[in-house]
Amino acid sequence: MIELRALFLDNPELRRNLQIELSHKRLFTAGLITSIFALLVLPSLLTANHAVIHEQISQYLMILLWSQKITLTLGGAIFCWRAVRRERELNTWDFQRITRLSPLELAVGKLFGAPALAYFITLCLAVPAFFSAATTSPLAMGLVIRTYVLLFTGALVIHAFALMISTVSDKSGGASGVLLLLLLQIFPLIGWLGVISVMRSPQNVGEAASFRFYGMDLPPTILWAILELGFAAFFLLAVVRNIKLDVEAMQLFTVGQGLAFAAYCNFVWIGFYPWATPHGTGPGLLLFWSLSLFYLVGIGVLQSREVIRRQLREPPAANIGAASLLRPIGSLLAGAVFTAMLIVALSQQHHASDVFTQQRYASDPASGTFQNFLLVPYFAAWLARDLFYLQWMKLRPVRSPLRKAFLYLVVFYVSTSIVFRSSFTSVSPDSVVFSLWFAPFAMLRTWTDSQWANAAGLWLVALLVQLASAAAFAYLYLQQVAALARVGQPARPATPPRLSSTPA
Amino acid sequence: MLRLIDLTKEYDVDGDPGRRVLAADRLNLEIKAGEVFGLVGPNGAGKSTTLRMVCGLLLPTSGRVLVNNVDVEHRREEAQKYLGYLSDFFSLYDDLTVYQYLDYFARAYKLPSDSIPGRVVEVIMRVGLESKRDSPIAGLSRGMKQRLGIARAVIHDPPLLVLDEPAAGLDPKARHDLKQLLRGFQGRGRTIVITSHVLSDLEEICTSIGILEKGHLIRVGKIEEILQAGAAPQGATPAAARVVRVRLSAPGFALESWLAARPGISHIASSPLGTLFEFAGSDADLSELVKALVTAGAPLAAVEQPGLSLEEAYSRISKGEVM
Repeated sequence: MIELRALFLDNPELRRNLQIELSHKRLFTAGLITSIFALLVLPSLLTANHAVIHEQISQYLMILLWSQKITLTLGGAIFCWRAVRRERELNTWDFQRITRLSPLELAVGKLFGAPALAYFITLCLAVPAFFSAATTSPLAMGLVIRTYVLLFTGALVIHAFALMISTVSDKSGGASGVLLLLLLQIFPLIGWLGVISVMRSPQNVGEAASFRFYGMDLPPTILWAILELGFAAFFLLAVVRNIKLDVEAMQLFTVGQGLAFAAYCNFVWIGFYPWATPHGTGPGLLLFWSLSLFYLVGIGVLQSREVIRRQLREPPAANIGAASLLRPIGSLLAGAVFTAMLIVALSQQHHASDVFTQQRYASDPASGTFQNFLLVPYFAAWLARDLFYLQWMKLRPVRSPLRKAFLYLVVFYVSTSIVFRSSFTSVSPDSVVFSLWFAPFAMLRTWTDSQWANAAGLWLVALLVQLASAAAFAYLYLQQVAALARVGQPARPATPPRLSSTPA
Repeated sequence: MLRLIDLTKEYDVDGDPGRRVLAADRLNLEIKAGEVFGLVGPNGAGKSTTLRMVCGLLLPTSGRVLVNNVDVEHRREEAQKYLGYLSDFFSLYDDLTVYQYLDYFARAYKLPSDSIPGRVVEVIMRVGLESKRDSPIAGLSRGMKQRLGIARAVIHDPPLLVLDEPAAGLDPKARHDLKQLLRGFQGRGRTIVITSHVLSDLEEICTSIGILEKGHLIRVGKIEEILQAGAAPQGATPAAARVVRVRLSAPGFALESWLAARPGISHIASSPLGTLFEFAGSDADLSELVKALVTAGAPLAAVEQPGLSLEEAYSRISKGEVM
């Protein structure tokens, strides 16, 4: 209770943000605009006859809800995204970092304080929204309340994510940050739209659409709100971990936190996976997305040049070995392989019980066994290859090394996808195997084909080549660390000051 | 109060892979409570980097910083309790008033709630902003903003004040006010670490000076020792002897050869201003030397221990090296 009070009621950062964002001038302007917006409906309500009035109010309600959605999730996210960046630009950031505010107090102060104006506008528009819902039907009122629950939890996810981007990105990361923000709008939109779609169909009012999660039909509002709060908690964790650190020493998550986040994402993803549809029976797509999540989380736990350099220089860890250097990515890979095996096992289970799968594999009952065996290590090797490549590149002494490395990777995959496009659709196993070194995700296309069994040797060679590539990048990474250690040797012996009235 | 132990900061050079610069190269320093320590050096010498590491704002490549015996890296928030910091370029929250701004930082430094109003008013008075108490910060002059920055740095009454170029861009009156303010803090036993390019200001307020070049502390000492070191002839060992200048009223006396024959005298150098030499001896020994000089028939006009300004001493000591 005391902690909650310190976080919200006695949090000076929250209070400062509210003082600035909710100044009298801003409140008056926002209040005036939203009042005009809210009153626009009155003339039509007064003139319309009862037959059309219900329809008009419904439309008006939709406009209000969408306005609130855009204001809070997009507008609020922009405020959060600017929260730390602007402090850095103004050189006020260091003064906050040097105070005794805990990282959590700072993060919460910005998370709820920076988008305060967006919250205020949303609340202003909530009054006519509730009024409209009340005049429509009692059930509509309940649905409006549910949209607000999802609106606020969804906004929390987006805001925490925006704050995380703002904290860990330097001044040059503007465009990519906005792009990520726009992409992330999609996730909270799903649950929110679920409720909205029910509202738009008067005949469905009262019938809550349910989401199937791990085979259970669950009420969407509660499920979605809980899942969103989970995501918000992970993003907030990343903010708290980094908000008081030197930007060069930032690392989104520790390996343990990264694994937990990947596990959570997989838990959500697997839970929603449509096993019972014809397209959902194979684990290929699920595996691909699961490992992609590990890929993204892996980028978040890569170590920076500054952190490695410090590990190399500090006496207790001066003899930092290859094992400890490879451990972070190794741990992630172990987590990824475990998850992949789990997915394959789930897939095999559904393979045995699912009617669609049985029909599909009726001609070849043994199909899938070999693929299941090969696909996991192949994707894991791909993950290892790219993560070691990114870690190697991140240690190179250039400006924004990770961003450049990621850009090169994107260019590489786009180019190879274009070049090997014909191979991806080919039925010839050898050409597919060859092209897969360049773009392993194309393997998904071959998942259910019998060509696997026809080219077992080639697939094995492809796996070995992929593993060799991963080893090569791991070697380059270790070489880069070795170079970093060499470069850091003292240029000459330390010379003590000649005069020292205050000897150390 | 402040200890730097092998403090090192390595940077990579953009556009030159593999090349690194040492903004701080194994700095070892101890500053005792109550000292006003001036850190001087050319632009790019590593002063701001060092101060940022002291405050825990920058991760050192190696080494440690202890503030009041608290490790800044491992117990950051506890160490920051003892620190007040003002950077060279900074902004304030223009939307807030002077009072609101200081109130925010007083709470951020976790001062007891009931003491905050009194403390804010006290600090506002100390920096001379009483008339601007409820004015928006946006309307303050540069000098006032600087004073407000200092007020922020001292709002929690830290024992150590770290000021990076606090006088930059201030007019003479504001600089004078700033010096008065810092003297007031020093008078109350606070330790101050300050960088400035206005060496005459530092000379007036500092008790010790460190000269930083290319990340190395090339001289550290009490201000009089630094001045003496700057005044010493090239090659002299200032810690072991004092520098004396003798001026004759007329030429004709072979002063250099006479001095060279005397014990305890070394590093003799003549200039139009007189003959400088290093003398290892007590005041009584110096008195005997002067008597002997007069007895030998030297037309003695003056015997003095030359004093240089800090600026002159710095120019002589510094090689002007930057990274």
